[in-house]
This record gives sequence, structure tokens and C-alpha cells, in this order.
Amino acid sequence: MGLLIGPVKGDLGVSLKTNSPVSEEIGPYLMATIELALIAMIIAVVIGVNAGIISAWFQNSWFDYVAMVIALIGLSMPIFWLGLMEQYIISIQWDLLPTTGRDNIRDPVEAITGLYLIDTLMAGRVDQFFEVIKHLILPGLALATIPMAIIARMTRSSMLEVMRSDFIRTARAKGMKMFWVVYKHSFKNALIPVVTVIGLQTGLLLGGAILTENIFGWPGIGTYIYDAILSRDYPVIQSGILVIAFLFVMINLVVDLLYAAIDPRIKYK
Amino acid sequence: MKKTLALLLTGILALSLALAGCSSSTSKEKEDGKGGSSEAKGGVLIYGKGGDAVGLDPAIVTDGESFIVTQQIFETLVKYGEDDTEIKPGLAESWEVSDDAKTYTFKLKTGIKFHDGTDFNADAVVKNFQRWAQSKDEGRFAYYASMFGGFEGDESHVIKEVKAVDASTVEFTLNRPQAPFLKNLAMPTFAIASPDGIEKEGDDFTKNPSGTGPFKFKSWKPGDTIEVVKNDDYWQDGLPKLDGITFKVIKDNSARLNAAIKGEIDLMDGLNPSDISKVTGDEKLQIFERASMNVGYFAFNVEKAPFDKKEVRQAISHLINKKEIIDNFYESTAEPAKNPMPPSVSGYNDKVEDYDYDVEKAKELLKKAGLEDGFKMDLWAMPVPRPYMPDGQKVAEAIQASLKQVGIEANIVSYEWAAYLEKLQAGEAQSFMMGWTGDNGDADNFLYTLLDKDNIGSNNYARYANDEVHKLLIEAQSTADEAKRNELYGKAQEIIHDEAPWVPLVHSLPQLAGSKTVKGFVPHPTGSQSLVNVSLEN
Repeated sequence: MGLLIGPVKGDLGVSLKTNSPVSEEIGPYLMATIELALIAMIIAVVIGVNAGIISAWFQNSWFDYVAMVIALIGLSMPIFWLGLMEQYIISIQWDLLPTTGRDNIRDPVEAITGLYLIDTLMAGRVDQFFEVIKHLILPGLALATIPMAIIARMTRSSMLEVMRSDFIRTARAKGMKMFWVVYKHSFKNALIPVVTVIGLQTGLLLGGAILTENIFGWPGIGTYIYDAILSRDYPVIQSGILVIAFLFVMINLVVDLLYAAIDPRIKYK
Repeated sequence: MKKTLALLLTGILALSLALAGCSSSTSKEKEDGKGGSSEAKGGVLIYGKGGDAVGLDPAIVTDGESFIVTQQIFETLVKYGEDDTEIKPGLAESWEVSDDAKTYTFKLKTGIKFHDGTDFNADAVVKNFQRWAQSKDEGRFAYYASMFGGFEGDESHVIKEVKAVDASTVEFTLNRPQAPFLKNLAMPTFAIASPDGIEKEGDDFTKNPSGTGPFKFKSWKPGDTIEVVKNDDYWQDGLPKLDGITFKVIKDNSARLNAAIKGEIDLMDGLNPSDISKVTGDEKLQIFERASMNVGYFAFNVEKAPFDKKEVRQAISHLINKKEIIDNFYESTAEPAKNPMPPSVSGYNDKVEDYDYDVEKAKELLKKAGLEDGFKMDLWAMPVPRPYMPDGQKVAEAIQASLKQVGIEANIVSYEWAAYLEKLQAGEAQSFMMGWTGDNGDADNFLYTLLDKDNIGSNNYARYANDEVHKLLIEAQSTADEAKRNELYGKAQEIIHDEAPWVPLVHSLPQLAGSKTVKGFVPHPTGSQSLVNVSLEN
């Protein structure tokens, strides 16, 4: 019973390794993961959805082929390799972005909420805010590749289906600009499967991106649970998985609610 | 339509340029600001490591990732030499040992304060030892239990009493002599913590530690960074040279190196041997080599024929080309071994001359043993990479090939790791590959643990029993005089070398990389050291 009631009261047990309550320990890790996952999802959605739409719009054009080949590569790319390559080329060769971490170690961010983008703004440190963004780009990109590819492919196929329907032909026949036909009429109707995929992928990213976290020195929840597994720290493993499962369910709930907002035919009573 | 696309692309490009532009300018300002201050002070060193600390109370942790941090915050009564395990004064400036080696009297340095402002004195030492000995909690104070034979009241407990004679004198009375007693005291885990802090913080002491060390604890972001800052009241004048150290966790070895190349971290451990050329090829970086504290070996079960014959063991010792093994499987990050313990451990006998690689000599010896036509044997190889043996299977294959030259057919055998150890302990292997990493840097921890007849059925997997060696090792255990002990261990190594129960293969050398601005850093064989003498210079 304690196992069931404890978590509701915020008691997630005590770590065997460090002897401190998991509910206290898990917070910073979770926040680090959420920040990274959100950025990754923003990158994945913006690029993935647009690539999918344009591919469907200009089906069988060079853009379509290139985008879908890139999506295929993105889907099958080993993340650790991609991450190391990003570091090597973008940060070391081109000297554009930092390789690891969440902030400049020599000028660390004072953690308040644990979401550094918010913390830096709360502290009024705009320079640190940009520093944090710079640190987010590479791991965000690495983490975004797989969801981006999945979203692009899903958007494309869903859009293709919609664009063959009669109301699209009508819209075009009445002389509407193609851009609005695609982005307004077609996309809205193609959105449901895309939103589903986005929801599932967000849940997966929150579940921990162990490889990305390891390579980019990101203190996230994936690493936290992975370490716990290696040291047989059962309370941490259990509670960590519980928290992730909870988030996963919540995201899916949000997705279900979004259906109603997207499609007026769907109503929850 | 193309216009929209073009507009979109231009927008993205403009945004990224703006972002890159403004952020790089801020970072430049930062560096300039820091550069100016680092000359005046000492700068903050960023140390990249592979895992987060478990805790910062040295008494309750057992892992190297914790000790590298606690070594900055805490100090021990006696300490190891800079790159060996010779005993040097630490918080104790001198000590005397009674003739029966059962009483150690330490004279403590005076005027030292803990970071929380309380005094370091004999009482503090006594309280620390009482905390460990009276805890009777093997889960928490695991190292204490294993190095000092349990806790107060246990029959095997080594320390009978710790007494404060006066404010700066502590007397340890032992139940029985323990030769590596001083070396044990130098282990990072037996550092003296502030009794006040322990009392006040309770279980949280491990998150808010207070010792006498050159650096004070500042902050800990779990899984990310630990910051320590200069202790301005440190008892050694002019030290530490740094203003602070930040320990940053980057798990992946290659990613950690990328961060070092980029200059985000100043020093890193766990360099992949295959990445060494990247460091040597970079004019801003340098390699640091940690002296070895381990030995990887190939051993015979001396109870099983034909390895009960000394000549056969010696013959095989002549057949193994250690240099080739090191070049091929260690990327040259190891030194050939000739004794069962590494040179960094005091008592190492450098006069022993290794068996040279000589097939003809081997044939001669085999002929003497009546085995000139060769024989069949089992060669056990470990299934997992170990610090002293990155690829046991491959090394076994190399040995197999060498043995073939004289007609010995070796059949490579392997089991899952836990089963492998169990079967070795039971003496089932005919010949096998193994290794050992030292606990406290004492010769006893190698020679007695691995090759004394008392430990057959435990860690003496070769089942080697020699009464003369046993006598020497036991005598060394009850002698407190270091010079005398080293002499005894030297003799034991000569006998072991002649009898050749093992072919010591290598002592592997862990590699570290750092910026060329890092000065005064000497990696210690135990894996953790104080960075009190390190500085950053341009």
C-alpha cells in the first residue's frame, strides 16, 4: 500500500546509493530533460512539419526526394555518431557553438526553477540566456533528428491523402492561392495523425535520451536512471520510470484534448 | 510560392547569424574579463570527468569519482608521495612507532582550522575514528571495515584504541601489528572531517562537507558540476594556487576530449588510448600519464601438471613477447611487468631481471622437463575488459600463437565473468589470465594477497605456496620499519621471479589530457590526488 500511496504524497522512496529522497534528487534532472526535449521538439516540429508539407505539395520534385532521403538517413543515424560529428565540425572546426553542458561552466547559471532559459531571464542575465540557447542547439539538433524524420514522413503521407480530396480541388477551382490551400485547408485536415506522432515522440524524448545526454554532458533523467540501473539503485529506477510514465500519459491526454480543438467533429462530453 | 520559401530561408539565415554574432561577442567579453583576472589570481580550473560523485563524505564513499573531489576538501593524517605510495606527513607532522609495532603516536600540526571555523586537533581525530569504529555499519563505512578488519568489538578489528594524549598528540593502540597501517591511513577515505559539521549536518554532511583541505565546498548541481573554491585560511602559505576547481561531468570519453579541444575544460581523465594522437597533434593540449597501480598477468595453476614443474613455467615466461602485446592491445599505454606489483608501490624490486623473449631458451628448458615435443593445455581468458586488460581474448590469442612455436597447443577457454572468478578460486583453471588493482598502494596488498599460501582459495588463483616467501611476507607484515619491509619484499620478489608461478604481463597506464596552461599536475597512481599545487599559466 505504501508503494501506491507514497508517490501520490510526493514520496518516491530513498536512493540506495546516495541515501537521499528520490523526490528531491529527481527535480533538477527532470528539468534539464524537459528543457532539452522541448527545444528538440520545437526544432523537430518546425522543420519536420514544413519539410513534410512542402514534400507533399511538390510531390516527386527534387525537394521531395531530397527531403525524404534525408528523413530516411535521419531515422537510421546513430545518435552518438551524429552528436560527436556535430561537436567536431560545428564547435571545433567552425568554432560556432559550445560542445557540452547546459551553460558556460566558467560563468554558471544560478538554478532557480531548473529551466535555465527561464532562470537566466529571472536573474536578468540576457547574456547568459543567449549562452544557454547556444548550448541547447547542438544537443537539440541531435535529439531532434529522429522525431524530425518521423514527423516529416507522417506529415507528407497525411498531406498527400488530404490533398487528393474533393474539397481541395474545389478550393483550387475557386482560385484560392495555392499557399493557403496547402497551409490552411489541407494542413488542418492532415493534422490529427501528425499531432499524435508529435505527442508520442515528445513522450519518448522525455523518457530520456541517454546517448545524447552522455555525449553532451547533459544532466538529464535518462542518465540518472541509467546510472541507477548500473548501481542497482532500485528505488531510483522505479520512481524514475514512474515519473516518466506519468509524463507520457499526461502528454497523451493533452494530445487527445487537442483533437477536439483541431477537428470540430470531435467532441468530449 | 518560391518567394515565400526564399523569404523563410533568408529569415532563418538572418536569425542564426544574429544569434551567432551576438553570442560570440558576449563570450569574447567573458574571456577577456576572465583572462584579466586569471593573471592576478590563479583562475578556476575545469576538471572533466566521467561520472558524478556519489557523495562528498569520504568516509562513506568508495568510488574514484567521489574521491577526486573529496581529496580537495579533506586531508589525511599521512599522505602518499606525489607519484608513488611512499608515506609523507599530512595533518600529522611526525609519528613514532613502538618496537612491537602496536602503538603509533602521531604529532599533529597545530593552528589548522576546519572550513566551518572549528579547530583541528587530537580530539577531532579521535572523534572521526570513533565515528567509524563505533558505527558497526558495514554498508556505510565499507572501507573502514575492509581495511581495519571490521568494527569495535569484532575479533578481527585492528584498532584497539585511539586516544588524545594532548591537544596535538594522538595515540593509536592496535590489537595486532598491521604493516600497511600507515598506508591505510593515507587512503582518501580516512580523511579527517569536522566533527562539528558531522554532528550539525547529520546525513547531509555528504552534501555539505567540511574538512581542512585547500579548497572549500561551494555548490553541487547533481549530474552536472561540483564547485570548490580556494580556502583562504589554508595552513600551507601560498597554496592552493588556483582560485577554485569546477568538476564537470561529461560521460562520453570522446565528447570529453572534444570539450578539452574546444577549451571548455582544462583537464580531463579517461582519455581513450586511440585518441592520444589527437591530443599530441593539438598544440594547445598535453598528455598526462598516471603511474600504474595495477598488474595484468598470465598465471599457471602450479598444482596442475605440467605446470608443477618450474622449468615449464620458466620456458613459457621466455615465450611471451610483452612488448608486442603492449603495442597491439594497449596502444602503447602500458609498461611491461616483471614483478607481481607495479613500480609505484614501495618495495618494488627493480633489480629483478625479466625473462627475455627467447624461443631457443624456452626449448632448452622444455627439454629439461622432458616436454620437448610440446603438450596440450587450457588457457583461460577473461570475458570482459578490465583496466589492466582491455581485451583478454585477443591477448590470449597472442599467447596461444607464441606457445605454438614450441609445439604447445593452447585451447582458449572462457566463462561469464562471475563464473570465471568462482572457477579460478576453486582452482579449476590450468592456466589463466587475471589482474589486480591495488587498494592502498602497499606491497602486502599485492604479494601477500595474490601469492601467499594463506590466500589459496581466495585471491591466490595460481595456488602458489612457498614457505620461504610466506615467512618473508609474514615477517614484513609485523615489521613497522619501512626500509626493512622493502628489503623483505624485495627478496620475496626474487624468489617469486625464479619460481615463475606467473608471467606478469603489464602495468597499464591510464591517460589524461589537459590544456598546456595546466602546470604542476601530477596524476597519482591511486586515481585521485589533491590539486593544491596545480596552477593555470599562459
